[in-house]
Amino acid sequence: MTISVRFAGMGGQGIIFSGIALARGVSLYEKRGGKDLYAIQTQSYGPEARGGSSKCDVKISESENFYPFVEIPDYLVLMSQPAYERFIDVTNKDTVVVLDEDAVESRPDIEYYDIAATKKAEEIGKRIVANVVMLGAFVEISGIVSKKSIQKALCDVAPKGTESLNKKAFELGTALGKDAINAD
Amino acid sequence: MEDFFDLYRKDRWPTIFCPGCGVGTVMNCFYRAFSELDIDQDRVVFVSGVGCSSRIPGYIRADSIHTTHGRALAVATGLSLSNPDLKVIVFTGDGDLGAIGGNHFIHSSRRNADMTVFCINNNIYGMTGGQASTTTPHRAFSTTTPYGNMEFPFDLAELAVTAGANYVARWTVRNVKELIGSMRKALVKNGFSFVEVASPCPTGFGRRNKMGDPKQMYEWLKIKSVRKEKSEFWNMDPVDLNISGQITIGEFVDRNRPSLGSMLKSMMNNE
Amino acid sequence: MRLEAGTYFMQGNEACVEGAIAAGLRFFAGYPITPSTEIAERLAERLPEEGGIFIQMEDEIASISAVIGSSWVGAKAMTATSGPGFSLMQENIGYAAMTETPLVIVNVMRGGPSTGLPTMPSQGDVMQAKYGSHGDYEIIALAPATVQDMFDLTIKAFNFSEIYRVPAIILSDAEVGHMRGKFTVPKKSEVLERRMRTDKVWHDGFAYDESLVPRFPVFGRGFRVHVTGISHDIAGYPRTDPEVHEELVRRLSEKIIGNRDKISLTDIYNEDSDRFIVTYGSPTLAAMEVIGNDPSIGLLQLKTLWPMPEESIRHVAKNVKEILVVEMNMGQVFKEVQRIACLEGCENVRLLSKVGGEVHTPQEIVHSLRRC
Repeated sequence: MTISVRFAGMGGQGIIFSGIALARGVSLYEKRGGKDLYAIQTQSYGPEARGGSSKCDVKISESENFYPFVEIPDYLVLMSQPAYERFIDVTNKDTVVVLDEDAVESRPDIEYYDIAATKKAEEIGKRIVANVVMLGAFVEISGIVSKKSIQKALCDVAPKGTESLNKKAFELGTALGKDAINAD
Repeated sequence: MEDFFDLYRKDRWPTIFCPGCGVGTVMNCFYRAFSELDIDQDRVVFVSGVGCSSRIPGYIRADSIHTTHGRALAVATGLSLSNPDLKVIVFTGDGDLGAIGGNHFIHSSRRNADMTVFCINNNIYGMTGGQASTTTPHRAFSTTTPYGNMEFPFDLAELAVTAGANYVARWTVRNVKELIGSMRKALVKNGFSFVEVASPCPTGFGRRNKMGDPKQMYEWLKIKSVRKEKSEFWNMDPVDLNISGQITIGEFVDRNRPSLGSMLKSMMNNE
Repeated sequence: MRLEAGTYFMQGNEACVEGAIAAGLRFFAGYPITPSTEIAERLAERLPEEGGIFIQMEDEIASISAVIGSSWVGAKAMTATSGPGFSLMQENIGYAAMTETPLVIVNVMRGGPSTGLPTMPSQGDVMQAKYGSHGDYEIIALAPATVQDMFDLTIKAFNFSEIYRVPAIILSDAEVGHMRGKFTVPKKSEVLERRMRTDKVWHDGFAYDESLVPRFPVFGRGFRVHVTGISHDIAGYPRTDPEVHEELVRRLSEKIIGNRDKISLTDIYNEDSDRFIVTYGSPTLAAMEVIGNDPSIGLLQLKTLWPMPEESIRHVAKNVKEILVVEMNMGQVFKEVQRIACLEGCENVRLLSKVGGEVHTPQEIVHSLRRC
């Protein structure tokens, strides 16, 4: 069993950061039935990763060696309209889309959740943590990994001095995720 | 050191050098300079690239590494960084240093890497039989410039000064006393020290330029060389201030910029 | 500090750095090039912490040159690069083989030829790693497929390089180098050191025993050894006699080929299958997924590429109907497998080639297997 997650948005939004936090949390802190879980994070490099669009994939598995690349994601987390246009068709009917409602105009005809991530981030004064709000929302909506594991990983990877800001953004995200599930 | 053969490997005599070659004089001057200094022969590494002058380390009774063409200074950089207690001495030539190894020359000077470099500049590729090098004079003949060299040559010493070397001097093989003095200074200098020696190659260069007799080549070096102090820089094009126009000789720089090794050391000690 | 035993989450290139440090790396010289740059960046920070030396050189030629110099004063030394830089290093790979200089080169392979696909993976440098420099010589090349391999095989590469006094090349690729995942640092990794010369004899710096590997006369200890890329005798002196050259060149090859079984690292899964996938590096993970879903298919993962693990390939070829070689090039290991399988009468060896800068998907392998 593997689970695929794709984060996509614009360069500078912290898309890669979210993916690393998720994969690290799963790899180091998450257990299933007392056993380790494995996750691989991959991303696009090169000119496409310098400004413009940004994409980061995470694949989670119970076995140690697995094909680490995401083809059709089970979860698609979108943070820009161009990312929506580029990746919305690389899905199937079971793909769950989580989108930043302020940054994405279109809506898909598959299951999706609107998250006011950018707005919430601006409310706490740091638009830059919108990605962490989205990560929190994704963790809540998917339920595939514990909040504790991801929070721990967030603390590892967050730049020094920003740990509490990231923690706050993550908690806001999980709350928004809960609201989105209830609104559904 | 009592004897020339305390420094050189007698079992490898005779050398491969042609009659009239300046390398022998340089080896002799180096023996004089080296033996006057209290340097432990077991704590010296000799490095070279490829060419006639690069064969010198093979004749020296010490740890020596004869590397690929042009790469001596890059190998020497790794050596001296990894064991700063060793004295690293490079023998090279105008082809090895000025052409194929030109980039390493610039950057070793810039880094002020800890090594002493002796370049025997004979204005020609001797080992391969007399092709034009980056220091072949304008209009001179060689096997690859049968109509005369259309290009202008490099001034290796000036290049080292500009790039940042701590000590730079140039002499001809006729200036034995000064050459020994500069070699001695270069050997004790921290950082990058460079001594260029204008040297005759009657076989590869002289024969094609009406100087086939070693005596003629020595005469040429005498006529061409001008001491820095007497040089009339102001009425010359800078590109002529080298072996083609005149061989400016003397000490060009003697300074104490921090060396690569000393900077590394202070970084490691958090200074 | 060397990483303590435990579980870590890192990029493949970072795990390679930690493997090198665990193996005792003391010197790194390199030049920035995608997709290997993270190795240089991390070492710039990590090596000084370990008391080792990091230097960024003016190009890849200078990088491998500095590594050679460092190795001769006894340091474990390494450089890291990718295609164009690896091409520039070829001359001194031959020099290191000829002068028996231990060193490690990490080549994080990207699409070629030329500048090619700087950010995307390929396995196009397999033949170049073995045959890129002029003349007859042997090197050792290892191919990691996972972040764990990047750590483990880097240590192995240092061990082989030190023991056999030969350049050891890690043929990684852009995917393995850039992917982030979990790896485990064991309590103790086997770390081997080169055999040093201890006596003070000046005239046989390259004398060898039955191992065919001369003891290393490290610079600065009074051995007064001469090292040259010219054909040389056991004194290290240049020689042009045909018999001296032949003895040297044959020994340089034999010291590696003669230890092929010790150097060959392979993993075999589903050994009794009559259809086998042979692969290495990134495509291995796709192949693992294939055999996980269909245990009737076997998998031979080559972790050593040079010298080619002939015994393992012959073993697999003995009883199979078909071998499918999966690689991200136009068929480099394929031709070797074809040649070796033929010795066991197995002629049905096919190639699943991919050169677009993407790793094979499990489906592509399944489709290719179905076609026969």
